[in-house]
Amino acid sequence: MPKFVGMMLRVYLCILALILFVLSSQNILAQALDKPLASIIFRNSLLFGINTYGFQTGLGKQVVQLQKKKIYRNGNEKLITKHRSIFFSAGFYNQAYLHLNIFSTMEFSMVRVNRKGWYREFMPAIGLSRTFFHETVYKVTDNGAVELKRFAGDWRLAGGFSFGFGKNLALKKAPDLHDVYLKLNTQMFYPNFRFIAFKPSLVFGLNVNLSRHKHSYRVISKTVYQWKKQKN
Amino acid sequence: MEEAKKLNWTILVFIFFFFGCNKENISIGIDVQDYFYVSNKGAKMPVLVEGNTASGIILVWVHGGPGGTSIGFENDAYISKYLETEFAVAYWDQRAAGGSQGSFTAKLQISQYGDDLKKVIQVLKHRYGSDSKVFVLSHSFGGLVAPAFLTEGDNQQMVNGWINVAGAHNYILNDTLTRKYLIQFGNEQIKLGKHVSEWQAVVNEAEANKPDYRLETSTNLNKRAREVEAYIEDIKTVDGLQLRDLILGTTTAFSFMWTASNAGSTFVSDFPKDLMYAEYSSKLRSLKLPLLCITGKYDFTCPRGLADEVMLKANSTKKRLVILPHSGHICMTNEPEIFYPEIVKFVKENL
Repeated sequence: MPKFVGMMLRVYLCILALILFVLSSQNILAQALDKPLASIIFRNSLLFGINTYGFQTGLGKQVVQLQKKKIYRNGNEKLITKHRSIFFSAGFYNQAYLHLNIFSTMEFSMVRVNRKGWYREFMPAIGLSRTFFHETVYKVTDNGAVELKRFAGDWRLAGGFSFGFGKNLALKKAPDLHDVYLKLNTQMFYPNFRFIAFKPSLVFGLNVNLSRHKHSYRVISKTVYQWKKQKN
Repeated sequence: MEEAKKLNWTILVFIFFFFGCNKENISIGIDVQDYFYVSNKGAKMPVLVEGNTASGIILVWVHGGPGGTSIGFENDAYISKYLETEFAVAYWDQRAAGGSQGSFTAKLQISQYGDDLKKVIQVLKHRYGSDSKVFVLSHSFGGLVAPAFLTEGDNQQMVNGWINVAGAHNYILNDTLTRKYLIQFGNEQIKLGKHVSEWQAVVNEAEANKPDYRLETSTNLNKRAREVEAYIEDIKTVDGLQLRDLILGTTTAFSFMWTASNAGSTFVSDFPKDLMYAEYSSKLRSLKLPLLCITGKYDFTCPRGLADEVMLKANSTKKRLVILPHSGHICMTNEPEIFYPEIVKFVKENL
């Protein structure tokens, strides 16, 4: 039980530290540029896997919005909106007995939204990670002396992709809430013995608008005439 | 602005020290569970020690594969019942296997596995006392790792005995014996009218795959050797760990996905091809330590002839061969009620 409590405390402090780090970084950037950061999205998510839990937080900016209006032969119209955003995230996952892995990634989010606000997302990512061991790590010197190895772990390239479903909230009472989502995430780490290690997880997240300024992304609109009947 | 920068540095330093802490927890008792890693040449390999460390006896489990796992066996009720009550069992996951983790390490080589085993034993003696009595239990591919360690320098002085379970100490001999046994036993079964079409296919494939140091030939023979156990009613089975237990991680300290990734790293490497030339037959005469060979009567994967050669060539004064009459290759799961008491008996005879 004490080990479990200690681990939860570690996780809590880590989350706190990462949030402070991200927010203070954002603050520094805002002061340096001497202007408010428009259309910045603050992304927070929880990661779950078998014997695994984690947290990821980051800042993102929507870079382009594609609007496609489909007009069918029977006169019906369908509006599809696609968002393209870039996120910079930091986070960790922890698996008991395996390791704690802290990673920082750049993600390219591709979202397709329907009129009711439900969306699906595909998001490839690339970055760096560093593992830390919970347990004692020993090394044996050439003359047979056994020593403890401090800060044992591995630097790896961290990549991956995730598929998710979400809902744009756009609530009048809480305009800062951007959306909530659930994703199946597969992280890949290279190298692990000259190969790739896979780490799948389920991600539950919440995006928040950091400011209510007018969005500064590019909007591309397109109208498509569909000569087939709309499926009911 | 300056204050915010200071805060950032404080947070980063805090994270660095927070996760860098690493202390030694050593348990001496009759029902312990210790977990630690041994780092060697770019690999961090987990070792789970369970059972009676107060006994001063440690059995190091060297798993098969390559790319298998020892820690996957940890919750086997028979091991807990027979072995862990008498002494401690150290489950070691080899490099590129189980829960081991590594950077861009050098090419996998059998001599490196032998050196890793030496380092694991040195760490066990450091933790549980230099006078600890260590026995090595190797299974299948582990039967190559164990002699890679035991036949090097004076490494035999570090251990009290070797339990060689269905060991594959010579790959080309292994393939030759597998082929011979499949053809011989298969023809007998055909004459007896048992699973005729299945055995005929096995015999045909075995005849077509004459060992030639090629991985493809070896893989074909190995595949058939595993398959035929299903046609032999005389092989016993008992309830044990199920695949779902391993996938869902109900066994402590076992990560299915990490193990699968590690197995992939072994699979895509040149190691399986290099293993075709691996043999320790020529070095077996240097063995002088107590030796127990256990093999299943119906083991076609690592047939009995391999154990016969180890028994013949080892210069050990204390050596014994046990053939389990209702077992295949994974004989510890076929006849655990005979298998584990034999190990306990051997260990007690050689303290």
